[in-house]
Amino acid sequence: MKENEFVQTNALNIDIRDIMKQIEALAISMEGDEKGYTNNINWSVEIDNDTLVRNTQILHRIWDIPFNRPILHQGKFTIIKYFIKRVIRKMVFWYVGPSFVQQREFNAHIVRTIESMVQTLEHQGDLLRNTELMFENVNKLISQNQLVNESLKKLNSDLETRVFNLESANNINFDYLGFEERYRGAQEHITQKQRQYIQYFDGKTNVVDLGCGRGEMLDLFREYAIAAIGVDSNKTMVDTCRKKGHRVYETDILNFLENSQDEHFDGIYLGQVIEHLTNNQLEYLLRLIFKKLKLQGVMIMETPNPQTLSVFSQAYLLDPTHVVLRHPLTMEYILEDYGFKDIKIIYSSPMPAEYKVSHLFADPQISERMNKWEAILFGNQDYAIVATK
Amino acid sequence: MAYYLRGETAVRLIQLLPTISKNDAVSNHALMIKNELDDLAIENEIIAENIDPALYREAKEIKEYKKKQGDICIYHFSIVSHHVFELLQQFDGVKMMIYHNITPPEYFKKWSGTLYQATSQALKQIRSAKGLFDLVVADSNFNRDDLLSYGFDNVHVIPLRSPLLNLQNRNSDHLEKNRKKNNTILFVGRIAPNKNPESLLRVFYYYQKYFFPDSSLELIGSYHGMEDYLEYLKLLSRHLGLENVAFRGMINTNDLIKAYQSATIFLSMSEHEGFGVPIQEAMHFRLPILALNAGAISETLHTGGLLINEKNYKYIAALANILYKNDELRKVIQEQQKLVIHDKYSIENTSVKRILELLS
Repeated sequence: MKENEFVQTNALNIDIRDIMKQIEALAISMEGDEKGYTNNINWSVEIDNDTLVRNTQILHRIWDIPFNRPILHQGKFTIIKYFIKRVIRKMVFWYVGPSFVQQREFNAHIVRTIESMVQTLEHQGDLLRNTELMFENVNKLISQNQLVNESLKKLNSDLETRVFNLESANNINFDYLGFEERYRGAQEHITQKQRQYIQYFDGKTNVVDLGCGRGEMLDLFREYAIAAIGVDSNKTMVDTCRKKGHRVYETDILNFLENSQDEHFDGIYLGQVIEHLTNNQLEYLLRLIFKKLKLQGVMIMETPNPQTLSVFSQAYLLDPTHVVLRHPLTMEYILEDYGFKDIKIIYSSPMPAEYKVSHLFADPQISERMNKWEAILFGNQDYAIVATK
Repeated sequence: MAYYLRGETAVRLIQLLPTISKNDAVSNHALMIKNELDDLAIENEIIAENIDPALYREAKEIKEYKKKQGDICIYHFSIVSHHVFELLQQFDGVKMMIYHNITPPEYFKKWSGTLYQATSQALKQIRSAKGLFDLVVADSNFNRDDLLSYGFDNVHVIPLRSPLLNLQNRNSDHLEKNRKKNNTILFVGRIAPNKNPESLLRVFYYYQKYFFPDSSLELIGSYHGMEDYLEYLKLLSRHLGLENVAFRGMINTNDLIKAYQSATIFLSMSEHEGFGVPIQEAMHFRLPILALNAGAISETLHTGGLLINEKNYKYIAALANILYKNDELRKVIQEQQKLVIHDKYSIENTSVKRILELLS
């Protein structure tokens, strides 16, 4: 036996080594082509619809075996052949006939069964295709929905950012109590200024000081035995008031009013508050106040007086949380519009005497003009507006 | 004819097999034995469980068998059988088994539950049958070793002889020219995984693509019960882009002879072969053979062709190319085939007489 790793033969007269050399030489051309080794063939019994239909058509054609085939007669002795064939047929009919009929019946049933199976298959195929289409659509919808959701989310977060930016555009964080201490002026001075408003709260039993700050007005209320509470959103302010023994709520004043009963208060005081509000906020606040005040209840709002030009260079610009100064005549008009009665404007904080120059002029004409100038330039720093429901 | 008698009594020989059908190696063997016994005027019968309608004359059903004193039984074993095996057990005369091999069930696991079951049960049955027979014959050394592993001993080896070997073979220059013109690779055998037709396609891929675009591959053999596997092979063939591949199924003897006579190379990639009748037939028709060295192939082929030790498809394709082109090599192989058929598979060596000698 001649053996080689790959090929061998039991015949002695064959040169296996030479053959092997030739094989190796020939195999070079096939190097790298591994297709012959491919194994990843997805094999499954496929029902090819065309073949199925074609075969069914053939079945329809051939199931009905002709029983009385014409007798073919050719060549010599045709009549005899024909006769013999007829005789044979007649002779075997009693035996073959019934089986034949049965066979035909069987064939017919088979064909019918197969036909209905093919139809069922087709129907199911349609159903399957429809279902696939539906799935496709549903998948499309799902992915679209995901896209919409994503863009909505993005929009939402954009909006949140914008709202936050808008809301905080005018915000500034600093020690407001310290600021007040330094620039608002001594508490006694303020108390003194505010004392003139006490008369309007005379006899009131349920007063609230909205934006009570360091509690100067609350001190006065207590002094005059007027029951009053305070509201401020600044925690240090609230703490200061509480230390003095006042009842103070730490919350936003709009929020406080929203949560109060209607016609609950008979007196509301707002000292240096409305200049911190936007138009919207002011309108909302005034309407809320009107709602929460009892009939005959009084409201006093103190605010810097924009009729005096020096207020702009001092009070207005000094406090960075100021939004806009309210003209007393505007306020008067708005309050009237919203239903308040008995509106009255009280000017306070007159100009210090050292700023006065009019008396230095001997000429009464100049002196009088200077007086007017002084009033414009250095008039009353604040005003309060008093209104009744 | 005392030679064929036991003592003074005339014997009757009963061949038992599960299924008898046309163009099946085991059936052919039984029929050949029958013919020879008929020629020797020895009374004999073939009894089978399933009979191909074409063979109703040659075989009888179990119920037709009438017991007779002194009946000798030859049982052909290749697949599981129930009724025939029962009949065998009732025999009280001499019992002989001719073993034709059982295909390992694993080959059928993926493709045919029926054959998987049948072969699995056959393995159990053969183990249980040891001791049942007075004589055991295998048709190849490979099958003898199989039987030894099942616990049989004293196994005689008598090779098969295909009935086609009795037919005249004309190998002329004209025929050889025709073979080369056709450039056809032939395989004969059932379409079954153990015969490994898949590898034939893979080898043919390289053969057709790199050497002979006009070449063709012919597979002859029944695919009954293996329809799915056939579909798979067709798919593989399409996947590989092969052209001129024909699964011819079962064909009649004349066409089979024509196929042997007109093909260029017989290529067997079979992985499990108990004997390899088509190898013998191809040799008879002087068709040069390339065969994977598996099972009984080497002993059946003897010197009549080239054996392949490795499933290297490219090398096999190259070797086929050489076998196509090298006329001298073809001639040498064809001469060897003549010798093998003449010596190894002579009528004397394979004849029923040898079986009868054992029985007497």
